[in-house]
Amino acid sequence: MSHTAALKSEASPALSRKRDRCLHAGCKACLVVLLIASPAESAIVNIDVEAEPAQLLSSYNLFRDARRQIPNEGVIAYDLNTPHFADYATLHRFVWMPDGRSCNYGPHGEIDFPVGSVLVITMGYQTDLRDPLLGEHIVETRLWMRRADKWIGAQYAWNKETTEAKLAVAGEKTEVSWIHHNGRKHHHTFRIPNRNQCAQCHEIGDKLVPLGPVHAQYLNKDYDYDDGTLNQLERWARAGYLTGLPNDRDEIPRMAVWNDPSTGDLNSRARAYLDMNCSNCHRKGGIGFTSGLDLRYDQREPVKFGIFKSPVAAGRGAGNGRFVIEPGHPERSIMLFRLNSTDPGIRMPVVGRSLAHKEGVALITRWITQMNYPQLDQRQRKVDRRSSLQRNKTAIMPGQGQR
Amino acid sequence: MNELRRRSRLRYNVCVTDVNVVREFGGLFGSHNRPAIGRGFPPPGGSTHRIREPGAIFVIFPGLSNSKDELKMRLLNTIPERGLMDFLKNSFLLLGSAALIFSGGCADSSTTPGLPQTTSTETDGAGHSTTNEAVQNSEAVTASTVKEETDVVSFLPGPDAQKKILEELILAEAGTIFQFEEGTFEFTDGLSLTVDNVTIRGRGMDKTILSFKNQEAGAEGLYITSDNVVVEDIAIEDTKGNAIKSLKADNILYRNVRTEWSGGPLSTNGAYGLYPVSSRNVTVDGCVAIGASDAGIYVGQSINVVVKNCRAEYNVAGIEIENCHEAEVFGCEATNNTGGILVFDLPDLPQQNGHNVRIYRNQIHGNNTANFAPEGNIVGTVPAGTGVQIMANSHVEVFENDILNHGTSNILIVSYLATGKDIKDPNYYPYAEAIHVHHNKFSAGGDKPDNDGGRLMAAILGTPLPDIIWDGVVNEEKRVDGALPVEAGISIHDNSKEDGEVTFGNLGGLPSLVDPGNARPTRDLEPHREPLPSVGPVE
Repeated sequence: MSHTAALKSEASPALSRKRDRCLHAGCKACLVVLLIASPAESAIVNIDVEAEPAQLLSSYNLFRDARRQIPNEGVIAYDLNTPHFADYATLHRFVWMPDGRSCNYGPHGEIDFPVGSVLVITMGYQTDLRDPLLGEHIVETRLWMRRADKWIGAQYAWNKETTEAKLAVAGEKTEVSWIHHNGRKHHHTFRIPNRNQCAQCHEIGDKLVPLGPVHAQYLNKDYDYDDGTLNQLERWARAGYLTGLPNDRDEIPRMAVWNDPSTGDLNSRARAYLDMNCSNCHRKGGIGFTSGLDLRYDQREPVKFGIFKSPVAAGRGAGNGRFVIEPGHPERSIMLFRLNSTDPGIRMPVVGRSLAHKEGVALITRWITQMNYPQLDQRQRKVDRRSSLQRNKTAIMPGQGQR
Repeated sequence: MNELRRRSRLRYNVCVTDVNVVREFGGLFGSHNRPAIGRGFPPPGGSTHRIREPGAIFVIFPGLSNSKDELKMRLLNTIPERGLMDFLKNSFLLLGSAALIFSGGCADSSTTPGLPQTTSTETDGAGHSTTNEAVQNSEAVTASTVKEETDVVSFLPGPDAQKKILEELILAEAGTIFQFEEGTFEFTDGLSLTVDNVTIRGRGMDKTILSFKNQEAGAEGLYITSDNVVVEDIAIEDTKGNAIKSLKADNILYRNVRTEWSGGPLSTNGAYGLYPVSSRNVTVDGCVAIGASDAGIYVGQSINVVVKNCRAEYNVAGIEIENCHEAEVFGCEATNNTGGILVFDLPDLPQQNGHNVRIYRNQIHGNNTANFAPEGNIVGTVPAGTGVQIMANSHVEVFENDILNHGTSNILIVSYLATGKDIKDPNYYPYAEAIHVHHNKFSAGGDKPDNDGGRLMAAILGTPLPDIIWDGVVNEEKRVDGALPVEAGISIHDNSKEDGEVTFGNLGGLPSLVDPGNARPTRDLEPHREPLPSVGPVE
């Protein structure tokens, strides 16, 4: 095992920086870790997606170094424009495909994964969100495997030493802590969702689907690979993982990054945030469509994505709000009430989060505050005036009606 | 897993039955010495609970008399033990399945004496036990003949119960019966089920209690998204959100299930007790729902719905049928809710146009609990003291109910326009049409009109409010030469009142609602006496 080999593997920028430091400190420590983490140097990734998920993650040989999420040969790290919020966990994503297989780029930027593909997402807690070099507590790795007829998912819980992860069908709880962006220490019970809870977010119609990487608009971004910065789709194409990219790369759609104003205006960033975090349920065929709410990025009809939309079966999830979104009034909008709540009977999304995402809430608050739908506003005001007229009249003459 | 799960090789839940049971199988008649066999899941609405083991093979042995003892004797005489074994073997070969259940509709579903059966229960000491209801001397029928089996997996309460139950439910195989034994099970996580043909069964709604008092995750106590599921003889208490929700779960049966928030009617209680939605063939039978901050029993956007013999109390809405097609509620008691039974239709939803609903032979009384729903909810508009409220549905028949002692109104019939909410959905039909109210019994009320709506009605009609109130909002396009056909309006006849004459008030339509000061209400029932045809039963 040489350092050159290690450097060729794909990893997140934070991790490659970590490795740099490792190199500065001398080779031995690094080498020892690598050797411990990968028992067989020649081990290659080996995943039969049609078989039942393995009990131990190590049997798949996905990582050269799991503790630092350094992937094995053929496993490419990637990222999403606007990832979902997972209780402040750091997300490490990877893709792997069997030899000779590749995704196809569809007419609207759909990424069609070939049978045998595996998507990997690892959740970890950095010791200090302000400094990735201080290390990370790896908690869970989720796999998406593309079978001939469907996608299936499997979740693995890591042991404390990050030497092995076991299949966790029923989910698990792990105590984590980290120092937040503001320097405060946070303690949290991270919940690995159980298999059915996974389906709650990922089921559309009767099928399970991954959230982000199935569309080019989420993948269309630069990534700092070890050998330089490159567009992710470009990288996948060069690795033989993607065919059919349009010659004119500007044709490829790009989703705004929720917290990067240079990538889109407030509206696009807020809609991107809702698309990623909410729309897998709140769309036709999703489990949240019983309310009729559709939070996909492409939904253009205001009432469908919540403007002046009355709640249906929200129960106390409605708080005292009358509408999912009341333009100009974040404090009266049910959407924000539910995004802000940590109560299991109120919070949205219902799984995958038990902390409030303050920064995401701030984004949606700004979005609703600045929102302007003059015609709808006027219409609602008219309706309200009429009801308040009723109220006033009845208040003036209680019980004096005709007999 | 496999060590945890000990399967029963065979489960002979033998019970004799009578002619009525066979009738419900629609032609699966056997003669008295040749039983008929069938497989599947009988349609809801029947009276034969015991034969609803999903996915099972049913052996029907029709008797000619209703005497169960006689039937038992006949069964034993016709198929002696040896012959029974052969018969079972043949059945397996014929139907390619081993899940064989002798069943019947009699109350004593226990083993017929004399038939080969033993029941053994083993416990592994960690809150998990397996029940083996196997025929010990039936070596002729072994696993090799058997392609699939009916599992009975039983659970005992204990500190490790949650993880085991979660895991077992997730990995369930079709045909499994999950038996929750007596006691209180504590959960911090919601349970969920995504596998078809599964039964979740307790030992009685007061004996097996799933408590979610300390729930940290999951928007429901139990969340079901698979078909042909039975939930029975169990209680779900103090969930943070809904007690049980089933989504797109066809052929679901809730029987003798209790959902309750033990702190009484509070707005911090979960929204719904039993909450089947977007499903076909929903049966809620003999259930009890207490304390929901929205509806105790709520069936939404479903087709073919039967709610019967249930009790709903101290909820905002006792029983609510919303955006459903073909539904009936009968033999239920709704009391001490804000509103007893609601039949609503709302806009902006995947299924709307609620129609063909029957509400009959229910006891609906004293629903005067102050509305404790969070403000934004549609049921937050229901005035306390409402017996039955019908909104924006068509072809609703309300008959032979006792509707007694309501402070606002015994029956309230309104269009969606009466809510004062804006309609943005072009496909939504906001009118209440072909509402048929007959042969109900009322008692005096209407003396305590509640909330803005109640006060508005009082301002227009005076107090006490009448027994039956209609907002009078109609689709003007449906008038024929100025007259409203009865199908576009309401029909009210043959109702009675304990202590006087049945009273009626028509608020006067949209002009009255918009400008109550110049409202033109009427109290004349004469134009509405023409009967409507009956709404047929749910198939």
